[in-house]
Amino acid sequence: MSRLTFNHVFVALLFVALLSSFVILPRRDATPVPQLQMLFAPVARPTSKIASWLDARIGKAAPADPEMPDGPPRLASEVYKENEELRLQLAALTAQLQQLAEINAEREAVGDIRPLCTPFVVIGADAGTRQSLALQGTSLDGLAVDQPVLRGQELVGRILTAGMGGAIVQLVVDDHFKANGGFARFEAGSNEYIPIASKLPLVQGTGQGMLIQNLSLRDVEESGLRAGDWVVLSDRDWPIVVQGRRLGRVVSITTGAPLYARIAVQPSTDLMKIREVMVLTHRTVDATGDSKPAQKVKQMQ
Amino acid sequence: MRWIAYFILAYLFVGMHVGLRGFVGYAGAAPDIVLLAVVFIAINAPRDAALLGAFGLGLMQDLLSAQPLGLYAVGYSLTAMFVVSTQEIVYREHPLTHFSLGLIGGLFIALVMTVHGWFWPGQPSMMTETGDPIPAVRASFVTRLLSAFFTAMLAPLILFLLMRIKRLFAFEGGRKRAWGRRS
Repeated sequence: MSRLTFNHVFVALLFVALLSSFVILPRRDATPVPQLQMLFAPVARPTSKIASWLDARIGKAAPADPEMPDGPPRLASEVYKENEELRLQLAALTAQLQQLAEINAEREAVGDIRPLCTPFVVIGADAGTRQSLALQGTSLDGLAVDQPVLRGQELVGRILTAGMGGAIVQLVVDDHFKANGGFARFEAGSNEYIPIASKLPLVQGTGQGMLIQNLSLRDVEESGLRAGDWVVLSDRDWPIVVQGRRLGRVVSITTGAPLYARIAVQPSTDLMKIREVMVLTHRTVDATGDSKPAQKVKQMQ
Repeated sequence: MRWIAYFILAYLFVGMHVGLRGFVGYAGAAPDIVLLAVVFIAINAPRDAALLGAFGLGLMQDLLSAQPLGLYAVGYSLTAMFVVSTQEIVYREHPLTHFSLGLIGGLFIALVMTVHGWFWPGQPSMMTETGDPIPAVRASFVTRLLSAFFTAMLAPLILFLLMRIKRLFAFEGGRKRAWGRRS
C-alpha cells in the first residue's frame, strides 16, 4: 500500500514538474528565476575563484585585437590597452551623440559612465544551460530588473531578476537575449570611428555567441560589412548612456535563410568567465554630483 | 538513506556546479556535476529514496537556473528511474558502470532539453517590422551530446570518490529496513 502511495506521489510530482516546465512557465514573459544564489555562495564563490585562478594559468589566453597596429614589444600591452579603451569610448560617444541629436536632447550630459555604475562580484553561473551569471547583490543594493550590465566599456547583459536573495544577469550571448544594434569599424591605421550604414540589425543570443539573421545578403554587400567589424547597441529601449557600447565583433558572414545573411558575432571575451561586472544602477548625475536611480528599460522579451 | 548526508551532498554539488560553470567545458558544452550526484544516489539508495532524492536535486538546480522550474527535476527523475532499474544487474563499483551511467544520464538530460527546445526555442522564428523573416534559434543538440560525454568522462573519478564515503549515507541500512517492511 505504501509503495502504491509513493508511486502516486512521485508520478504527481513528475506531472507537476512537466506541466511547470513545458506548459505554464515557458509562456510567462519573466521567468521566475532564482532567488537562492546567495545560499549557495559559500560553496560557489570559492569554487569559482579556484577555477578562475586555474583558468588564468592553464587556460587559453584571449586573442589579440586584430585591428591593433604592430609595434615593438616595449610597453606594447599598455599602449594597446589604452588605444582599445579610447576606441571603445569614441565609439560609444559617437553613437550616443548621434542618438541624442535624433531625440533632440542635446542638453543631456554625456559624462563618464563610471559614477553611474556599481561594481558587483559574480558568485557563479546559471545551474542549467542558460548563459547567465549570479551576482552577489540584491535589490537592496540598488539592483533592479533590466538595468544594463557592463564590463569595461562593453555591454555584457542586463539584470534579469533582482530580489532580496540575489540577482541574475542575462548575458548578451544567452539564447533568450535580443536587442537592436548597429555596425561600425575603425579604419586600419587611424582612430576614425566609422558607423556602417545598414538596415537595423536584430542581435540575438545563441547560447554560444550572437547572431544577426534579419539582413539580406544584398544589404550586407551594399553596406560593405566584413569580419572584424563592431556590433554596437543601438536600441531605444536601453538607456542613452549605453548606446553605442560594443556587443561584439562580426566573426563570419554566411548564407542563412534563402537570400538572407547569417552574421555570427562574438564578444571579446568568454562572458561566462567574468568575475566582476559594473551595473548601471544610476541613470543620471545631477548638478551636485549625486546620481539618480536608473529607470527600468523596457523589457526585451 | 540518511537525509542529512543527502542534503550536504546536494548543497556541495549544486554549489560547485554553479561555481565551475563557464570554466570547465569546451565549445559551450560543460559537464553536469549534479547529475553525477544523482547517479550516485540512484545506484545505491533504495528505490523510493533514490527517486525522491533525484527529483530534489533537480528541483534545487532548477531554482538556480533561468530555465523553467521543473526541467531538471524531470530529467534527473528519468535518469534515476533508469539507474534504479539497473541496480541489481550492474557492478556498482566498476568505472565502466560509472562511465556508462553518466553517459546515459547525460543523454536523458540532452533529450529533455532538446524536446523542450523544440517546443520553446530561445528565440522563436518571427518577422521584423519590415517583413524580414528571422528563423528560430535553438541550442545545438551536438553541444548537449558533448556535455553528456564530458559528464561521462568525469563520472569514474567523481563516483570513485563518492563511493569511498557512501557509508555516511547509510544506503544499506535503509535498503534492509525497506525490504524488511515489505516481507
